[in-house]
Amino acid sequence: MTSSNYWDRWWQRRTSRRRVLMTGGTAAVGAAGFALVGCGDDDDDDGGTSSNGNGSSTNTTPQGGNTPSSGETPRPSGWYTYIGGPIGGSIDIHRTNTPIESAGMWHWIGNFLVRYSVEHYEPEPDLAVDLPEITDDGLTVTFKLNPEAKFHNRPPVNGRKVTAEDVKWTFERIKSPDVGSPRGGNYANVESITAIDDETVQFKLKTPQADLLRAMADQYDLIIPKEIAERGRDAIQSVEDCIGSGAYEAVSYTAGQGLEVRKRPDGYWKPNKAWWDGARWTHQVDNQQKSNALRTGQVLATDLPADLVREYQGNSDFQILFAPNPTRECLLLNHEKEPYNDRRVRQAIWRAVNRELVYQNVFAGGGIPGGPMSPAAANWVLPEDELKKLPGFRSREEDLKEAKELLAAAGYPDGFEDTMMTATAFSTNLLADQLVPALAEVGIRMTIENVGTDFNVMLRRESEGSFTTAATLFLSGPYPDAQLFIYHHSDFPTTGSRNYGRYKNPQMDEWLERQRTLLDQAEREKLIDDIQRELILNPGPIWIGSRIQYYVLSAKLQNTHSHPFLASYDEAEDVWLKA
Amino acid sequence: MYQFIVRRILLAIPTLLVVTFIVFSMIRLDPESVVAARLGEGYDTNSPAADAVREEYGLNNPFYIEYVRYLGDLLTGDWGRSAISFKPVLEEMGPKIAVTLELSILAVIFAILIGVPIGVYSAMRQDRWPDYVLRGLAIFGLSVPGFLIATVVLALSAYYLDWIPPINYTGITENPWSNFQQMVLPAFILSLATAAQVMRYSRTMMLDVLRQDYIRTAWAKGLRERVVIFRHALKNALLPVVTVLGLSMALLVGGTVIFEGIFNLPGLGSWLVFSVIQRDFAPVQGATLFFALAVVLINLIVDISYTVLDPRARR
Repeated sequence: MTSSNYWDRWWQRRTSRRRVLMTGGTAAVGAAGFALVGCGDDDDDDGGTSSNGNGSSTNTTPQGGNTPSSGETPRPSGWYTYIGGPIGGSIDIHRTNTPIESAGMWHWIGNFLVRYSVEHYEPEPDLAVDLPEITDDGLTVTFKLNPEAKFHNRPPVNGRKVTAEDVKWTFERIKSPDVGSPRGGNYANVESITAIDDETVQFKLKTPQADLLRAMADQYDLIIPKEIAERGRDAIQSVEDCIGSGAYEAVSYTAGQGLEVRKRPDGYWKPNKAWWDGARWTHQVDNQQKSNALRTGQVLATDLPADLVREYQGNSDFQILFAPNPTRECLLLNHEKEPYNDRRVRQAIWRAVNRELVYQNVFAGGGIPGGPMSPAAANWVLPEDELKKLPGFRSREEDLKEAKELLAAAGYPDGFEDTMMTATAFSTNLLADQLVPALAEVGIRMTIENVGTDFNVMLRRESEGSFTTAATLFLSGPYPDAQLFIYHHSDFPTTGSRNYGRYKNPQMDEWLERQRTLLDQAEREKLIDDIQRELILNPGPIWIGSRIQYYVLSAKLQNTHSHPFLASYDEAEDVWLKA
Repeated sequence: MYQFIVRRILLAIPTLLVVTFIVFSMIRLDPESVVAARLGEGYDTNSPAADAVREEYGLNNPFYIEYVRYLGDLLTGDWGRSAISFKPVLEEMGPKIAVTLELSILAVIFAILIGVPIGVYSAMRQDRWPDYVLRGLAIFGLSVPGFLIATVVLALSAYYLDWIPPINYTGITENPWSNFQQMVLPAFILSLATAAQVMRYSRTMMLDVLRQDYIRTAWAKGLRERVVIFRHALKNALLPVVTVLGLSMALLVGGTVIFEGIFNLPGLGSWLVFSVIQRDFAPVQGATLFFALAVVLINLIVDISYTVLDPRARR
């Protein structure tokens, strides 16, 4: 079975097919698996081979997802069921940070102006007819909307067309400080939004913004009706307020329990899409219970950690998809505190952390060591061949030797003592458990300070700067502004809104500001590469990498795709159940 | 009896006040965390959005003002509004209380059905192998955590029987069979610890009663074992068991949290945990207050029932 999915081709370039699904403690740089169809395909059956940067064989025939066999056509498929969580507290897509509300519901009931393609993982038109026209040296971005697009036939819109006013009001709402959207900063550069006519909306920018479309395609910025948006901060409080232009309508939503959508009775404006009668998500955060529900056929899909995914290997009733998780593990250093204000100490720590061991021990091999850009930003991350030559990714012996030399040069030949903040949440405490012994190898003796099970306590202390080091994680969109700009720009907390470590590097500020405005892709990629190299050689946060997100689905689901970022519109529109 | 009830109710008021004060205080020990919870990663503590959250939660007001306001609202039937669902707490709590009570009551029923017969039989076969085996099982029921049993049972059931209880809750009035399928397993497992306690109490009390003179007289009269046990001994042996069951019920109501999570039951316990994580103050206060009320009420009922069952206790 073959797939043209972007992630499958990316995995093929990176790793050997033999390193499939965490072979229990196998130490492998960037060890990951492939999207497997559980039909028992053998490694040697398919096509030719070529070698990747690791020097091991790689089958070049992409594999992944469950691409329909020839002759298989989409068909009405009943109900799509998923178990996972948490199904969090906020139903307001512009204010939430929890994936299930966004991907689980809004991706089914709404549309973006542009959204990420699961084929090439760059923005593609959704409500827009095409990618926008960019003029005035990148200062004017003009979209034409699809005249067929219409909202659900529910009050207050009653099935009317999606217009430019709706787009304007949506983005004004996201930008508004009163609403407090976590993505508001993405549009701080937008000077004005104008509805030229019903189908034309124009964004005027203060400076060119290369990642504007990528920010818009981020999983949360769906278009809502003007009538809802103009209500302001508390516009979306109930299911009745969840109005979109998607193929499905919101039926019910109970935080901590579940949500349900149903096919819109008036028909979806995109032809030949959306094959389900509806979809239901059941809240469950216990991985064993999720596996039980999948195994007994009560749901069609769920996400599982690597160790439980192994149980489904070779089972022809299931298929396994995976991609890098958009979250990134990180050892945050407070640059305003000694000794982390010394670059040599930071460089030593960058070399001393054992990234591979973190993912081997904490995530059962299901993770990818990475640098300043996560593996989920596949279009931007430094090639693996180059990464392996840089500090932190070379041989352990070489990195440790250099780390000790750097510490000695900084005046810490015997290391030093300090505390590492962490929380019993999202496996950050397990991350800390791996970082402490790794740092001890170079004489840095850390005492763990666990703030408890509430991650927000740690988040707040990070924001306040009341820490010295923190084993933590961040959720970032797969593009440079989301992964580099806000985490490394020295103007905290405004421009560098997540530069909790207060990293300061004037050269870096200049580069970060310049890359934002570069519309020439090649020129920008070169600069992004330079930025990543600089951040590896002169670290801000100590980036560890990304865990892998695994999904296990019924093998009956057709036309599935791996995607590292929640893009449930794919399941909503282009996946169906085999007859 | 009437005076007894009134006195107990009046005594409950300070208890409930202490509970509300503790809960109200605890969730405000770190007030800024609620802002972080609301606004998520990268929030700006000086932003209008952060100010709005502080205003919404009354974090800018002195503690005592907010507490008194809260008590006043309680007395007028306003238990607050969830900052997540925006619904009144009482309105949200109702269906969840029903789920938790259903689970707890079923668990108590199972505990009685399992614990009493086993305890009686064990007493009748004292110091013989059935007694040893059953006492061993009771130790197992007391020592192994219920959530562990539940996790193992569910995993084994999924693997070998290809069945687990339905993951989406159906009310008993909607579909009694589906509701029973979903409730029977968690209720049974939840009951095991209580059943073990009941078994041990039943056995101990039965042994004590069986040594009484009137029982010896019954034996001497040549009555059959069944008559001696069930007509003469059992009702006296079970009096303390009523107390144990009552106290267990109170513990069960508050102890369903983990089971509700494992079995996807939308009860009060899982809602409480979720609200704590989300820093949703009003449901946390409401649910905790309900649990406190439930414990007080159940203890009251137990005391009253004891006086009804045992005339000696009325004096």
